[in-house]
Amino acid sequence: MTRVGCLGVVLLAVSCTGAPPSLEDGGPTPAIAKLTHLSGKVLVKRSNGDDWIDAVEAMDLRENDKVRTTAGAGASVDFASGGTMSLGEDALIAIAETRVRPGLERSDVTVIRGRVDAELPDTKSQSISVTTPHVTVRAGRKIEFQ
Amino acid sequence: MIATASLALLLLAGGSPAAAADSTGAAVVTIVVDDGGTKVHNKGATWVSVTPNSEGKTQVLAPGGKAEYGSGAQEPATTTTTAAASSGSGSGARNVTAPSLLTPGDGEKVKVKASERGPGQVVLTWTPVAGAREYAVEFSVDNGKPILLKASGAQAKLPPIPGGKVAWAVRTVGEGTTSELSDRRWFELQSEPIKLEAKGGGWK
Repeated sequence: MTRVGCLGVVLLAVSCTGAPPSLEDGGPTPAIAKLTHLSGKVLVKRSNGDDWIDAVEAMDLRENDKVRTTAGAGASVDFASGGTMSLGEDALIAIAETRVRPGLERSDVTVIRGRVDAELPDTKSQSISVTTPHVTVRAGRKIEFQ
Repeated sequence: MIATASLALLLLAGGSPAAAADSTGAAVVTIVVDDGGTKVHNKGATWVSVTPNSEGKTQVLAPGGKAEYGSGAQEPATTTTTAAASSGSGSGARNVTAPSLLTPGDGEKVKVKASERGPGQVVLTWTPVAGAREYAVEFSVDNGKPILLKASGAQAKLPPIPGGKVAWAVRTVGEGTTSELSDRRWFELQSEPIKLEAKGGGWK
């Protein structure tokens, strides 16, 4: 009986450390995109970090991470859901929260500044939503009206 | 007008315009954001929609279509759109727009860890708005009295809340003007209790 009790305490401790990350602790979330085709100086700011760090090829991007390209730089963001976004120079974007709905994968990005080219290869099953300070642009199978 | 209404109905019904229904082409959209506003160019073979963050009409851009939204404008400055689904008044009188809410998602269950200092705190985020001086966050817990918070950036940390259904929305505050309230969202806050472990053998 004592052994069972100890096992319970151990399991409790494991479940505590294995709990899903909350907004509070800013723990790691699944990568939803990769940074590719880097050209020039490209910087990344993690959602739980304060500093801009140099981007590297194939770097994982998670929700609320930010990507910045400097003058003359460029990069691509390849979403696990299939969409791609090319960033021109002097651009600033944020990987927004992505919610996957049954039968529909969706990539959300906030473009704060600069030029981006968003491409969605499979518009029958995927959609992409890009928000700027002024508008929200949606492309793909399901076009919604508010 | 009839063609426009029919197109809107097709889209609202979850279908696609005839030109796009059989298309398997890629969607390609170029978006440019600068101090002057947002420019959208649909370079793909399918239709895209453009919705102002504040009140206004959702525009549908046909392949090849372009639209431009100014910083203070709530209607596209120039557009070659082919259909519109109306919503809102689109008065265009205000200088700042309401932000789009980002996180937590609508209806999301959010768990925060409590600490010795009390319940954990949730961070709300939204899109930054050009011309914003600050933001006014309105939230309520379990349909209680609305509480107002001010935030200088596009995020705000709620005070410690033990748990409950939290509804929230944000206004943009500009120089001498305030936007309409954003869309309202809610999330279910679940506070994880502190796990206490008692170690035996400490007292004799």
